[in-house]
Amino acid sequence: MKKFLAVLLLTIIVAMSQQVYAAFEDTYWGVRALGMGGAFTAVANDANAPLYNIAGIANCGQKEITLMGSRLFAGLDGVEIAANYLGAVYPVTEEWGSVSFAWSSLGTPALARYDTFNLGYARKVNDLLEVDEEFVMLSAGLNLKYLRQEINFDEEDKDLSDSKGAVTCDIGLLATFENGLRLGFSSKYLTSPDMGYEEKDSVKNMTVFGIGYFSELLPYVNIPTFTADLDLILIDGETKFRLGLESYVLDDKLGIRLGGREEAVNIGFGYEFVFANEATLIVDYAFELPFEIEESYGSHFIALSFRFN
Amino acid sequence: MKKRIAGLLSLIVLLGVSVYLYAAEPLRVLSAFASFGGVILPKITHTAIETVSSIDKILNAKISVDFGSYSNANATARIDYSVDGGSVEQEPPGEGITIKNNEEFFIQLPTFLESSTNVDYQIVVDFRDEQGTIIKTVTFPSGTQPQHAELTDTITKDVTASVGGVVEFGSGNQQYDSTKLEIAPNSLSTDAQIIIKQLGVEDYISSTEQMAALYQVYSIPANIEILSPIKATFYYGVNPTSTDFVLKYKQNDSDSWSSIPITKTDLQNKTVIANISSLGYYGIFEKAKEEDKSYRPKNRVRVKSRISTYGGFMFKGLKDGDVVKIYTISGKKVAELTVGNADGFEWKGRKGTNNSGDWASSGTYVYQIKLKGGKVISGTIAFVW
Repeated sequence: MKKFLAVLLLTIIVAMSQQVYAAFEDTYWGVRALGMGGAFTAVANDANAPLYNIAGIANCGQKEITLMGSRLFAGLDGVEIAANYLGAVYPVTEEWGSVSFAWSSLGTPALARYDTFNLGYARKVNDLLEVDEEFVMLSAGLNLKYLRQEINFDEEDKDLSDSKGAVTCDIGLLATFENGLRLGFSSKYLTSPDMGYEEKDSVKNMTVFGIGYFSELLPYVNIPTFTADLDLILIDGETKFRLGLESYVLDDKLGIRLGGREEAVNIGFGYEFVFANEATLIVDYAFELPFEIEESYGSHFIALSFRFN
Repeated sequence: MKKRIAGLLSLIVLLGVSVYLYAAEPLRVLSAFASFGGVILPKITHTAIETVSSIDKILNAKISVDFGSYSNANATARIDYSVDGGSVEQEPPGEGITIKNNEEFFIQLPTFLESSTNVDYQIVVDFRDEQGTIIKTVTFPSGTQPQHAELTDTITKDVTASVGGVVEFGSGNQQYDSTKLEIAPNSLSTDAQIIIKQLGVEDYISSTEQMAALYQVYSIPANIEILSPIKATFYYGVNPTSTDFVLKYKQNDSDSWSSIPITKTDLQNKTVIANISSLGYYGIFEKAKEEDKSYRPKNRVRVKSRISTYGGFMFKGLKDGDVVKIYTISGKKVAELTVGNADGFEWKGRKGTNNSGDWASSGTYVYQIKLKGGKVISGTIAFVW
């Protein structure tokens, strides 16, 4: 355990010393996570994990693939922004850990598009650190990322290349305690890659600390299959918070979610259709209402996921 | 033991890659590898038929080509076409015109085409290397089958009152649905010839609305009655970008317009659908398009280091009391403009009120123009470093 804390501390120091700046910071990925206001760093236990906390894919017991589509700021004429996400997790073995692939895309037609391709690996590390799994499950992961942005420049800027790409990585750590406490850490865009066209424009390094709690039946209020997550995000000298709550009802098939962050409030739900051989089809929906942007009916996100052995 | 070795190896790889990524700047090897991951084929986008006047139409192809992986190649474009089954001609003759990546251009056939002309055409784009050798050719449509266009501005159909029928008018653009009247049995007081004629819209531009398409619907004999509503589908054309239309009617050209309800706007097929009970003129107007457009920034992408040369995002025509707010994609306000100059309000990529703060980050932003009267106009812009 001391070794794990030492690694955690070292990683945090390295991550927080990075230079900060630029685009790619917005997270609109994964409908379950969005239903929880984007607070997912300490939860991170499904195909949405690659973009929140790569260490979480080590806790996926089954293969899983998820596909998300969205419509941001519906109701605003002249604003057409779509965020799409594809995530897949493949647990290899307990010894070799899990691998993942994820693609996220944020685009505005005829204006700009930002794509991220992610190749992740994570593993439980109790055996290496000699920590009892009965007390806490520890996992660590690395996410290699290729970032690409494409801009439809105006006539006078046509001499600039339309697209720009760079490689970087995320790292993640996750501790799941026997008593329901969960601690997550994720440092994204670790190398702060330069994505500038004319000037240096480093993608902001984003450091996220997550604290979560899971209970099969929340004491005193009897909320079944309850999960909570509070994320603290450090980016470009700013501190942000995200909060998410989730409960599963109807024999753990219907998930109800609530969350929020500084700019918006979120609600969501998901239903799991269980088939033979423990295969599960999951339909998730999330809604986000921004506080400051006027005349919008909010942003809508929907995802189909499939989990199987 | 085996479990431990596997775990240790995994961790060593993980840490090794982390250290390498942290140390290696700018990671040229991995970037280069990712850049050559696949070949993206060029893609042609175009819209076909333009109405020039009530009599003449023209094949004025509005084209843009996404070069894909051939962005460094030289490219030329031309149209191969034949009129009424005649010989295949090229416009422009020879290799065609030089084009640029994603830049919109036009190729116009050399002669005006009469009503009821058939044109088969194919857009051909050749990509050449530095020696001028063709390395890739793409066409629209792909394959050998050309695009077929029937250039008709008037359609006539004999309709038997007791049977009804469909009077259909080709849009001239094969991607979209057509203008048509669906006449149910016993909707007309007597048998008649029903005629739809497309008219030019040049004389119908105002400061607050812009007419997208104009049709005259009439009959021979002229004095028939419509006993029950006719379902009318009007194609509004490829140019409007609005999603909000108004359908207006007048019986004679000298009358004033009156609005009639649209039952459906089909953005996919670029049509509006309404139930009509009179013959006359039907105009499709883009609602308040011109008013909104006048405030929106003409340039939607600005580069930080070039703002001093080309200017920032200019919101024209705004006055005291109007406000422009700039938000990140995540919905956080980063800038606000409350004052400007004679031209309008200009956002120079700075945070805070009236460009008083630090530079904003690269990225796409949502703007909202709030006019003094309360109207809110929204859009997106991209700020690039």
